[in-house]
This record gives sequence, C-alpha cells and structure tokens, in this order.
Amino acid sequence: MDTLIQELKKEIVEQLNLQTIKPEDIKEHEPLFMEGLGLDSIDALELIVLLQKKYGIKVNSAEEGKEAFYSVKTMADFIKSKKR
Amino acid sequence: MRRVYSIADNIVSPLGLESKDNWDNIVKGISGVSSNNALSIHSESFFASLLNEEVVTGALKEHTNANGYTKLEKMFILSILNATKQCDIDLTSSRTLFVFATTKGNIDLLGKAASNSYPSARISLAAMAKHVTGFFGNPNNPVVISNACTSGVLALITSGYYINENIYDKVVVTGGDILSEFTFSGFQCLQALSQGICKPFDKNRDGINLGEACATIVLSSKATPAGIELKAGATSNDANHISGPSRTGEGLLRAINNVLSYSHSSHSDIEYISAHGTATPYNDEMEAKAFHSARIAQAPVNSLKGYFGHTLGAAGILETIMAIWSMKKELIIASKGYDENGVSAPLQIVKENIVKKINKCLKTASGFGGCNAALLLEKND
Amino acid sequence: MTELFLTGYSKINKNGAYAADKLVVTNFTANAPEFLKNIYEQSAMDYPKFYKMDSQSKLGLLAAELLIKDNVLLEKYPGEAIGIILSNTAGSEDSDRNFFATISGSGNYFPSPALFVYTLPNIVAGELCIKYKIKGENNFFITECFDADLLCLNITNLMNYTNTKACISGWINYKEEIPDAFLFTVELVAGKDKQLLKSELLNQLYFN
Repeated sequence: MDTLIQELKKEIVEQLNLQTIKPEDIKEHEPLFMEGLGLDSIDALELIVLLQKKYGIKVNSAEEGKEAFYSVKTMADFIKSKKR
Repeated sequence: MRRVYSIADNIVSPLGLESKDNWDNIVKGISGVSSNNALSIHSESFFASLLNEEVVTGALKEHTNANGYTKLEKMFILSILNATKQCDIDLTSSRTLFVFATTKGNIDLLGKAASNSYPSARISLAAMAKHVTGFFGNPNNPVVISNACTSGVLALITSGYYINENIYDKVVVTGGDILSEFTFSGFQCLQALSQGICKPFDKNRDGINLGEACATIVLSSKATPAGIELKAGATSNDANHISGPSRTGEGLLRAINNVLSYSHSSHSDIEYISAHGTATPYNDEMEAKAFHSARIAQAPVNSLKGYFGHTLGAAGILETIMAIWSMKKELIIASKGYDENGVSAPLQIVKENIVKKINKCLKTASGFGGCNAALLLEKND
Repeated sequence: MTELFLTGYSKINKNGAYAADKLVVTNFTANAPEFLKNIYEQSAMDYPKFYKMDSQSKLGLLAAELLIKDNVLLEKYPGEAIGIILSNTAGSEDSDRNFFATISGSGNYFPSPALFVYTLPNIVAGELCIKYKIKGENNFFITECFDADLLCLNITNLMNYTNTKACISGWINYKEEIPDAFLFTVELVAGKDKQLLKSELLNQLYFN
C-alpha cells in the first residue's frame, strides 16, 4: 500500500505538472480539491487520464471520480479495489 | 455613421448547401446530427453533424476541379460562391473585404506529411484564408478572427465597424470549422460530448454534439428589401476560468446590457433570442441566469445546436443567418432536444415552431477563454 | 477622428525582456521554456497558475506583467472599460502539437484535457483577463506577420463604438520555441510621453 501511495504522489505531481510541489509535500489524507492541494476541474479530468494510462482503470465521469479522488489515500484504495 | 445590413447569406451543412434548404429542414424539425462511424475521427461510433466532403466537391465541379483544396477550404469556397451569387458584389474589388471566423482551420492536416493532398503550410489560419480569397481574386489581406466559439458573432461585429466607418463597401463574413480527430478527442476528454442528440436547456442534457458547417453573410451599408440590420454588438470577458463559464453569467450579462444600450433598445424590445445553448450543464445554466439578469427572459428562446451541432467557428454566423430567416419568415423554430426545463432560472424555450413578428432579435455566444458576444438584429419595415 | 495615445509597451524576444525600452531580463538561452521561467522568477509575480499554462500563455502573461507593473492602467479604469485585442501568426500551434502528441502515438491514445484547453489562440487573452480582471471587449486576429494597421484600426473602432476607455493590444507569438511578444496600452488620455497611436510608431517599436 505504501509503495502505491508514494508512486501515486509522484505521478500526480508529474501528470498535473505541479512545479511548486514535491511528491513528499502531499499528505495522503489531505483533500486534493477545494482546500488542501487546491486542484481544479481540469486537474480532475487529468487524474482520470492518469488512472487510465498508468493503471488501466476507466473512470467514466468526474462524478464517479469525485469520491475516489478525495485524497491520495482514497485514490490508492480505489485503484486497489479495481485491480482485484 | 453608416448602417450595416445583411444582404445575402449561405449555409453549407449536412442540412443543405443553400440557406433555404437548411431553413426548410429545420422548419420540418430535421436534424443534421446523427450517429456516425468515422474511424478517421474516432474508433467508436459517435453523434455529430458530419458533412460529406464528396457532396461539397461535387457542388463545386462547375467552378473548379477543387484539386489541392482542403475540405474546409472547399466548404468556404462553396459557401462564398452561393452567398455572393445572390447579390451585386465585385469580389475582386479592393472595396470588398473578406473576414474569416474559424477556431482550428485545417487542423486535420496536423501530423500528415506535406504533399499536394496535405498542404501543411495551410495549417496556418492566415495562409488558409489567403488561399481562399486567392480563388476569388480579392486583392486585400483577409481578416482572420479566431476567438473560440464567439468567433462568428465577433466577426460580424468587427466587420460591422468596417462598414460603419466606410472602410469597405461590402464585407463577406464567412465562418467554418471541420470535425477532426483532434477536436473530437479534445472535447471528449473534457467529457463535454453528448451520448445522443444534444438537448439544450433540458433537464437531461449531457453535453454537446460537434458539427461541421460553413456559413457566409454579405454585409453592406446599403439596405436591400430583404436586408436585416446588424444594429449593435458587444463582447466581454468573464475573467474567471479559461474553459468554464462564470457561474453568475455576469460577463454575458454585460455584453447583453451593452448591446441594448448601444442600440438604444429596452430589455422589453427583444422579441426572440437565439441562444448559444450548447447543452453542457454549465453553459445553459449560465446563459439562463444572464438572460434573467438582463430582464430579457420573457422572450422566446431557442438553440439550434440540436439541428446543426456546435459548429464552432461557423456557429455565430450560421445561427445568425437562421435568426435572420426567422425574422423574414416570421417564424421561430422549435428548440430541438428540449422537453423539460433543466435550468434554475427557467426560460421561454420554444417547443414547437411559433408564428411571430420579430423586429428585434438577440444572438448570443460564449466560448473558451471566458469570452462572450451579443449581437442585435433589427428588421426595418 | 478620435485621438488615441500609446501609453506603455513591453517586449519579450530572443534579445531579452523589456518594459518599454528598459531591458529587464537578458540571458535568453536557446531554451525558451527556461527563459520564460527565468523572467517569471525575476518578476517576483507569485502566481502559481503560471506553471500550468502553455508556453504562449506564459509568454503573454510575462509580457503583460512587464507592461502593467508600473503602468497604472488597472487603477485608472474599471475592468469592464479595458479591452484586449491580441494577434499572432502561430494560432496555438505549440499547444496543438503538444496535444496532438497525446493522441497520435501508436497504442498511445490518452488525450490530455490540460493540454487541450490551450489549443485556441485566444486562451492567452483569457489568462490575462483572469489575472488582471480585464472584462471588456476582446478580439484575436491571426495575421501572417505583425500588422500595425489592423490593430490600430480595430482599437480605434472599439474606442469609437463601445464603452472601451483603454486597450491592451499587441502580438503574442510562440512558434517553434521562439518567443515573440509585443504588448502596448492605448488610452483616450495621453501618457507623459504624449505619443499618438500610429502604425508607424508601432512598427518602429516592434521591429527595433
């Protein structure tokens, strides 16, 4: 689980081109949207691309992604659940 | 200050190669949007309003063998020919200007190795426009406007000032875009596409249909019996987000209020609104709010995107042409795809064609980059 | 004929970044993205959104910051009275190619939303409007090369026919990794230089 979370943090920074943030700065339970990292709607769509590209998981709408994308931890849980 | 009149028009779309054919079809409720299998655009079937290139090439045969012209260029040439044959105009005159509205031009050339069939230099919008005006022998540099989905309305407004100032006697304003894998993938990854025919303002709307078209209006300072006046126009920016409209609609509101002011119109003068109505959840909600704030929401409203799809650079011009026809024929067309209200500030969406005398009509448009545009059309009897 | 005045300008190209004729940043390397990053860091802008923008929008933003920083335009006029008329020849070519790369590799179809939203020329204007709260008239022209006549004419039309009291205008072109920006402000009231807006003046400033 730990490796997935570290990997995810790196990939988020890369996919979203977060130049002022390092992977280790992201806290796994911190909200990604609104507060916390403050990502926006385009970032949400990019995370959908990330999941498809790196994990082969298809998220069909931003709504479906909303719960999954709450934090890095929920994303990791989501990926785990889809890979079973 | 000279006044600005539309003296001729043309639409080239899946619903026909003349404005009349397009009008007749939408009167009958026929849509150009359908399910397509076009692997060059997408690997799965999709809903869009796709124009058959061979139809355009065939129609051009008597004028040119169309070799070396791209699909979009052929559409432009055909539309300009069909529009200008209806009026008295010298396309080779320096007193005639061409103004183009397009969002992506020959974007289908991207990634293709340069050849006769793929003139990659004409990926440049300016080069494309010059190639088209070269066909007509016009000596002026064409003006090319690329301002997202407001391009068409903006081109009309910009051209109107040229006529006001007597810089040109006639302006041929032409807008067009083609559907490409580039554009399709882009809108799809933004999750902006509908799974069926789009439903502007409807409760169950789920996104846009893309459409291909070219539309042309000839503007002149001299009215003709058939002419409708382009009375005033205004644009604005939301200054909020580059791909989502402002939630309050305040940018569009400002453009509408300015147009009312510039044309010395009261909000109650507006008798018909041809909305942008793309059928995304956000656009339609924003437009409805803006219409209410501008106090014009009592006027009948439609969106034509259910018939033509969202034709991007052509949209503002194409939809203005159909609004002009509505004014001349005194008939407002049903807003295709609408069944039940889906916006928080309900509008008078036209569900069946209405017979109505229209003296003042408002056309609105909004686009990526936070831009908005409004144009007031007036019929002088 | 309404008299209009040029009240400020800025330039960014391979020779450096200029606020009017004052060279602010040199060190253009062959690497345009690095160059733009340097200008940003030296500007002390503190605008994290910068990093998400495409190169053309970054170029436009930096040119605008050089233009507006000491110019009191934003204090003098409400956003609704400021227009923005930009132009270029590239369209959004750089971003077009970047987005296209996400759909065109074999077995590599992953269209990127963040890249797609920049595939329109007027997005740079949109970014400037967001940053500086410019809410007035907007337009974007595609020309083969810098066209001073076109810009003067359209600025004049806006000032004559709309509520526009001031205009930010110019050329923002990022093509084949070559940044080329020239922005200027136009007002109905003269600046201390009392320079009338004229094509000749614009060409002089742009080409030198």
